[in-house]
Amino acid sequence: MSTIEIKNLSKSFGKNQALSDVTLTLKENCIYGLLGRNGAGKSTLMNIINNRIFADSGEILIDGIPSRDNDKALGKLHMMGEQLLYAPSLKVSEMFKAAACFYPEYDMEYAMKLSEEYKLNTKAKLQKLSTGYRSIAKIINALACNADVVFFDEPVLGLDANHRDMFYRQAIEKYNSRPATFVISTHLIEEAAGLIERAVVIKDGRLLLDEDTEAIRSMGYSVSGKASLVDEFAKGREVMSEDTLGGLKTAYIKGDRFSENIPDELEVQPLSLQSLFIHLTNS
Amino acid sequence: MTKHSFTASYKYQVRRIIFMLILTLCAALVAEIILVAIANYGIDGRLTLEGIGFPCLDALSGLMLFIYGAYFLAEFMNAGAANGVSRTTSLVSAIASNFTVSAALALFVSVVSPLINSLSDSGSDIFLLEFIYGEKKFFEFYGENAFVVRIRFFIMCTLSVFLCAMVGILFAAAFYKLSRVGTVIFTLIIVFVPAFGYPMASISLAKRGIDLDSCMKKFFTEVERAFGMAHVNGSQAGDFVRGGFMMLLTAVVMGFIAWLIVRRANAKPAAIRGD
Amino acid sequence: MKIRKLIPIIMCALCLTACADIPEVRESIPEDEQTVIAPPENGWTAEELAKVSYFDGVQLSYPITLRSLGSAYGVLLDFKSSDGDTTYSIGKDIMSLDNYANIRASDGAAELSPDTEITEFWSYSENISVNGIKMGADKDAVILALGEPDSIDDTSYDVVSVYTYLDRNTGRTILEINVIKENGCVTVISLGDK
Repeated sequence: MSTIEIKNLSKSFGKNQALSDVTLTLKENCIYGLLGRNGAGKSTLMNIINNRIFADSGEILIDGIPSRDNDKALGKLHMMGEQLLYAPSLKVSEMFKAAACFYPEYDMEYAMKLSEEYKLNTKAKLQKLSTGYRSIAKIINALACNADVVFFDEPVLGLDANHRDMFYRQAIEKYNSRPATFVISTHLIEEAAGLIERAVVIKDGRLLLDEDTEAIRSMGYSVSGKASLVDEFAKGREVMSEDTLGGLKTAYIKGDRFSENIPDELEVQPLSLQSLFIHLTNS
Repeated sequence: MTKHSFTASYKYQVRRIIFMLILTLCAALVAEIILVAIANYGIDGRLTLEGIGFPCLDALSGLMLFIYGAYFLAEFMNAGAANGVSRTTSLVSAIASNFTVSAALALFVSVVSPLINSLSDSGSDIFLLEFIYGEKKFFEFYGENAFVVRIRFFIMCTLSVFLCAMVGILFAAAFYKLSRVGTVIFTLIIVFVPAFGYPMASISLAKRGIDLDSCMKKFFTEVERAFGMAHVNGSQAGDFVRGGFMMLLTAVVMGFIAWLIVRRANAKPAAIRGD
Repeated sequence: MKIRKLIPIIMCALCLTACADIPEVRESIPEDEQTVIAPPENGWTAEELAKVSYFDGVQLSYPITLRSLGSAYGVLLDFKSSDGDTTYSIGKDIMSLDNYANIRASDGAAELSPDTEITEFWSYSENISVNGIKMGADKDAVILALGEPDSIDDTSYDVVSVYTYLDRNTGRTILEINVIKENGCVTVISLGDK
């Protein structure tokens, strides 16, 4: 089981500062949600950790070992990326066999079992698969490799609802049977919310948040009711945003709802992970 | 680099190259057999294999390994990046796998070429290397053991084919690292400098009293001497030790340059149509 | 011992065996250092002629063999003539037929070997010289350098006269020089012992 320490990581692509001084620790045996808007720097961060691209400055340590170009450290990681790094002419089964060469604990039986469940044709070439099935092939490969830390970059891209549900279920089953660190980057936050134990939010290349999802849920709440009552309540509190509909208003407020004295006339709701994410990244 | 990561990379790469190579070689052999039979039938109405020969199969092998060395490097780099292997390991194992395949190919050439040539009286059993380092029959004529002569040619064939693979790897390393614009510029330089740049430089320098052609001739003669080639050696016998050493040294230098290029190269996945 | 450990050892052994003896090359002597003597009064012997004869700068020996030339020459071509003898073309560079010589081996030799006595050795190139006489030399220079030939054949060929020199002891033909009738220039030099 492995811990990843990211220290002062920065990366720019020309004039675009993709990552700026990111410091983060990914603990062992935890499912992380790596969240951020498009272009926030999530894929860049994952690619750097997995040695697919190189940072301009900063350091990454895996179990205390610098990871840059270090097979001992990198061998503990696997990344399911958006881009396909295998030869497109390779068959799915050949991709599994290739990965099995690199990961000593690769579970080929499990990979074939999942392929059957997803109805993935393992004799098909990768380039002939649809976007969805290519993602499935990569997901199965990632789940079967049994690496200490597995990164999923947009794993459900192109998947239908059934397949997405299958993925979440299988990820949890895998995690329960063989604990590891999963880092899942996704835009479908609400779907993945049940899976994620800890959320890391990146905004404009900087680390905005690194918290347990339970703690995040208590970071804000919404109050709804008559506009005047809501305004009255919201005075002196940190309002993230407001929605108005006729005489009714909803205010999204930062803070712990349990420590507040909220009038009975107002309806109070906890903020979902997605809502909090939207408000945090909008502000 | 760990033993496991190197071994895993190496096994993956050897499997990939050898399969393609066997396919290509078998196709070449079958095509040769069919074409010779058809040609003989066209000439005198008999479907025979007279005239079949595979001279300079070592040159063809070198060309194939140049192509495959270049073709597979990006895939090997990317497969390594996909599976937790560093660029250094991917490159070193690519060099090792290319060397292994070169040796296998040299063995194939040493055994198969004479076999094919023996199918016909007029077939000639001569490698390109023999033009450069002396014919096998020359050394046997002067009393060298036939087995030793063949082992030596096998080694030289391996090294020369490996050197061709390294040239391919070096080119591929440059293309892997360069951006799209850089790749275009690099390609244009390779294509146009020999075709236009050299003649233009030659004419321009001639006006200044500098004979570029004779300078280049002297340069190439020195290179041939450095590689122990026969026709600058004053004999049909080339200097194998020097030639082998220079081939290895050149391969090592190329490998080092390729490593300097790719060690910080971002993984560049192959494009898939429709994505 | 495991096979995996044996393989590198076998490979090294093979490499070492392959660096076996390579045929040596004799030094070629520059033209101005090559031996030139006054022709003997009563004619030449084969040994005396060999000492003043050079091919590619290498002094010939008597009897002439491929090994005596420094083992630098391989057989480029061979062809059987109508009289049953085999003529071999020998040269240093298999990529070029520019500098080569033709030879015939001694009678009865089944196959050419490095030590087979060569009975005829002739060249059309400038690489052969006999007592300073090379391709293109004037017939007067030939007589000055080699003495009067034992016979001159003007009738066998239309274009050339053949100057023949015999061994003063054995009476065997040891040198034939073809001279173009029109301009008196040497065109072929043929050494031998036949």
